[in-house]
Amino acid sequence: MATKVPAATFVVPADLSRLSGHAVTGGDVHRHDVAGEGLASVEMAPTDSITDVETEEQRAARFERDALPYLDTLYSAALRMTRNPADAEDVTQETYVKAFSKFHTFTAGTNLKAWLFRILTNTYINTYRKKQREPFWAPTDDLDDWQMAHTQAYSTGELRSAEAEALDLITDDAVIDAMASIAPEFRMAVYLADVEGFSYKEIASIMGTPVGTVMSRLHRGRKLLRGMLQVYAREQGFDGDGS
Amino acid sequence: MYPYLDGELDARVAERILGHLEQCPPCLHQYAVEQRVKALVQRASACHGAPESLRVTIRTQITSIRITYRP
Repeated sequence: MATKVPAATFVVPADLSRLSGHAVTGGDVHRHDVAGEGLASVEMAPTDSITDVETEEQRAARFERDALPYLDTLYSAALRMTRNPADAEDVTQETYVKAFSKFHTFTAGTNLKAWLFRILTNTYINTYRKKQREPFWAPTDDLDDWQMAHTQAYSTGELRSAEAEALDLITDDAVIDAMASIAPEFRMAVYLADVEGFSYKEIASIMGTPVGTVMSRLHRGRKLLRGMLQVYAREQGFDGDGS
Repeated sequence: MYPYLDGELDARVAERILGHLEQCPPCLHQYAVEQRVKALVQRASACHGAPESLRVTIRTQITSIRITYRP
C-alpha cells in the first residue's frame, strides 16, 4: 500500500537515488551501506534539500568543487593509517568513489569533512580486515593490556621536567613508528583528535561509536604513545643525564 | 585531563581545571607531558600532498561513473 509522502519531506527522487546507489558498488550492498549510512542518517534532515532540484551534472560539479579539496587531507590520514603509499592511494580512491556514489545522501551545508572521514574510516577498516595481517577493530584488550604493562613501568611516578622537555627532541620518524605500533582504533582516534582537531562528538560519528568509547580509545592510545615516547627519549639520552 | 587538553570542556569547568593546574605541580607537569605528546603527533603527521596521479585517477573515475549512468 502506497503511503502519501508530503512533498516537503521528499529528499531524493527515486530514480536518481537508484542511479547513484548502484553506480559503483556493483551490487555490493553491504559494503556500500557500511560506508557512511550511519552518518548520512544523522546528518540528513527530512526537508527540501539541494538534491531535490539539481541535475546529476550539477551534483557531480558540486562534488568536485566541495569534496575534492579534501584529497590531501584524506590521503595524509590514509597514509598514517595504512603506513604505505600504495595502500593509502587505494583507500583514498575507494573513499572518493564511494563518496561520489552516495553524495546524494549528503546534506549540503553539514560537515562534509566528517562525512568523508567516516567513509575513509570504513573503507580502511574493510581493506584492513580483508588483508587480515593482524587482529583488527575487534576487542584488542589483551594486546593493549600487554602493551600497557610494558610501558606503564616507565610512565608512572612523578616525572622530571627535563624528561617532559626531552620529548620535544624526539624525531618525527620515532613518533610515526610509535603511532604505527598502537592498535588501529586507538591510532585513528588519536589522529582524528590531534591532527584533524575533530571534537569527540565528531569522532564518535566518524568511528560509529559512543562518545565514551572515543574517550577511552583516546585515553588508552595516548597512554601507550606517551609511554613509548618517554622510553625512546630515555634511551636516546634526551633526558639530560643519560649521556 | 584529556577533555581539557582537547578543548571539550565548557569555559567554567575549564577555568576550574586551570585553577587547579596552577597550584598543583604534579598535575601541571602531567599536563605539560600530555600537551607535548599531542604536539608531537601533530608535528609528525603534517599533511602530505596526494600524488597528482591520484587526483587525476579520481577525477577520471568520477567522470566515467557519470557517463556510464547518464540516461
